[in-house]
Amino acid sequence: MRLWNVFRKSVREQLREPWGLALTLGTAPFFVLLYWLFFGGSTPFVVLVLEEGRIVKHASKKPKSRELQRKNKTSLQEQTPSTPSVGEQLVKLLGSLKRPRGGLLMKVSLVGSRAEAQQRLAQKQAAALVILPQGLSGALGLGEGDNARERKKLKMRIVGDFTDPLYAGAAIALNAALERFVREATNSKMPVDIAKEAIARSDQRTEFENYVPGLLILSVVMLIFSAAMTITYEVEMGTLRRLQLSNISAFELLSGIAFSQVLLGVLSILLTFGVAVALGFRSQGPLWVAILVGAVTSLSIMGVAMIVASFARTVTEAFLLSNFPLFLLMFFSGAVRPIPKVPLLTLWGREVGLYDLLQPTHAVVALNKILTLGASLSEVLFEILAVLCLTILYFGVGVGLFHLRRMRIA
Amino acid sequence: MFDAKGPHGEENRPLVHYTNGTSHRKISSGTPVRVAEETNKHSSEEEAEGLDASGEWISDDSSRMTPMPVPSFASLQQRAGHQRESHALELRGLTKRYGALVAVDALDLSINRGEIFGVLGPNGAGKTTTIQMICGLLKPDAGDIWVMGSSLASSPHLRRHIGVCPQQLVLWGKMTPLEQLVFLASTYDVPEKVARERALSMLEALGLWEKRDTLAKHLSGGMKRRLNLLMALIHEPSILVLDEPEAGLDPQSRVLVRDYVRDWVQGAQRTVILTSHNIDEVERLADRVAIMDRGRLLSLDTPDRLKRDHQQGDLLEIELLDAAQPYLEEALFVLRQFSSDLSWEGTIVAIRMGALVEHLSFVLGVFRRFQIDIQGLRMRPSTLEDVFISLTGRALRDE
Repeated sequence: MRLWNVFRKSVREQLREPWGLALTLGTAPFFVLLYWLFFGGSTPFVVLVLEEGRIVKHASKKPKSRELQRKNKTSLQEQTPSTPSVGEQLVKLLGSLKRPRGGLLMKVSLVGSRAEAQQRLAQKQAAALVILPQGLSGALGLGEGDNARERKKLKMRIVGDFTDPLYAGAAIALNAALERFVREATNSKMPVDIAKEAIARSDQRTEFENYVPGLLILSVVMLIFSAAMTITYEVEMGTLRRLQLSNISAFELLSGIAFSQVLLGVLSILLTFGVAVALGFRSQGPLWVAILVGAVTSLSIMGVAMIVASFARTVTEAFLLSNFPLFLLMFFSGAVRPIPKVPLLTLWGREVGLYDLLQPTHAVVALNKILTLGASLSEVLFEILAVLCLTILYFGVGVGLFHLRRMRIA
Repeated sequence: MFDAKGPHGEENRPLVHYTNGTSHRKISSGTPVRVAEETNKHSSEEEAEGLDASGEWISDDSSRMTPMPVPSFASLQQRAGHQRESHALELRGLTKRYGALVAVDALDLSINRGEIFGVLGPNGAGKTTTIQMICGLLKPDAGDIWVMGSSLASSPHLRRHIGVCPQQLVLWGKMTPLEQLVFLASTYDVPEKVARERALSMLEALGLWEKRDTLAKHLSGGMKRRLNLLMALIHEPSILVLDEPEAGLDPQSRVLVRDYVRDWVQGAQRTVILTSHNIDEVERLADRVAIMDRGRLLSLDTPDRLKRDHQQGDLLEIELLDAAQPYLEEALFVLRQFSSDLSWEGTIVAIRMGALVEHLSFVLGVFRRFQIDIQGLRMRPSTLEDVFISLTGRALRDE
């Protein structure tokens, strides 16, 4: 009953703090909208092509002639010295590639020099640079000097910043496209075909859709701030002293506040999904299971917020301290980018890693399974149970610490 | 009723035990002097009596008050139990240390039911530490606290009998007065319906009815302070701890709060422990006053008796027409024979002596006889502040 009263009080106070409420509820949906505005689904990889030994007057000029396009379609081998260069032909081919759900895969342009290309790569204006070696045209039999021996020496290079995730995507697509270009030009065939095959319908995901799970995790992890600050507010204002004198326990007080925060978290998740779906996001699995995962993860985050609140005496301190677990939970859970497993032990046949101690690690896996691979509840039960176990652990530590540091009689 | 170490640290041995002859109700125990002080406050009749130095009653009605022989240890223990039940609060050897600093030093104190008990002391006297231990927010290093006859150490739930109104405003700004009173009551397991009715009645009594649905952060300072008081009372405690209750209140609100507290105490034999730096406030409200310093109890009695026992006399300030008058020094020489506390600075002569009113004509006669022209005079009776300063000294204290 006391827990319920704390919950009601906490909800009431949150509703009377419109700015705080708007920020807590609206941050993740707002970022979803921003991502959609920036990517609009999927943005093409920006690729530069450099032909060594050739002067390009207008680096960004695209082949516009319809006749040229027609010829490109028939056969690359039919080109004459008056036809476009090998670079221009490659630009044409790459520019025509499409994503599985439509939309250009690449936005390609020719550059005049390595220096210019390097600069654009460094400024993140392009994801990759394809360098076509001098004599490639002849080696491919597209012009003068067709020479099989020369062909072996030539090397096409895909240059880029290996730390840039866009480079990885562009390089994979370019590798396949260049291979096709060479095979078509030389009219050769691979002894075996190499084909990419997506699990579930992961090839159908747009870049925008890829960001949605991460944003969901962010909206949940961000609850650390509001929960820790709400708890610490009682300490800073001295109202905790009043509660200390009453019959209320640390568990009742913290749980009441925590559940009100979870309610906010669930609302935020619903809003985030709502906005994402309205903007074209498609979940492969049942959305309610994803919402359940989000709700359970919200609850588990409360324990972390309680630990923060145990060490903070003011709301400002709570805000500053919350940054540490926030970054830990975001960057080491795989929510931002995959993290290699650091094995600790094996439990019931499952390897438990260091980052498995972070609740969002399991939430990220579960959300990926549901949203991208179409998993059902039974297929993510392990992850949900793992999050629940961690919830109990962190909740227990949080309540214990708060009792010792803030509510126990000194 | 109380048992305390004196200002010089004398032990409180229960030398004699006095009973009311008809009902055999325990009146007091303690050192003869303390018992005398305390027993004297029971009634005006008793006040007229008193004790001599050996602890014998000086009374015509010997059948009513009879000195008892020294009791056995077992019977003392039994009596102590009965006595505790009659006390709202009892502190026994209460001690709290912070490293080398002894914040509260073996404090013994008993506070009666139905009493407003003032605690005075300079900064660092140990008032706050004592209050925090009484409220159950601090654990004593030694000694025990008895609330309504039961030990607080063994029954922490007794804290619910205590309501605390701190000096600083401790309110939930984003809740209305009604909401926060009902919420706080719920943390003491008061049913919501009961809490609501009680809260509404309290809000009305302290002039907050019309603001019952206004967020606390939008209330005026005085309203917040009144609400702060109600927050301490919503669960109907038996003991109320008030820290500077009148700070920040306008005169009308002060009277309202004072009357409310008095009614609250008288209504159901409840107890108020009042701490304040405002000595006038304590003097107006408190039935008994304890003066503490450096963690120890220096003196404890009714304000009137404290003033009488520790009086240094009333103060008379005489303003002379001219500082350079012939025979002035001669006149002051004569007056010094009657009061050693005499000072002269410019045109002001200040004399402190007991029963000043009775001696006023003599003082003025001396001035007249030596033909000293007087422009005016001011008289100020001895105050509790004088007692406080005389006991704790004039040196500034920093927290």
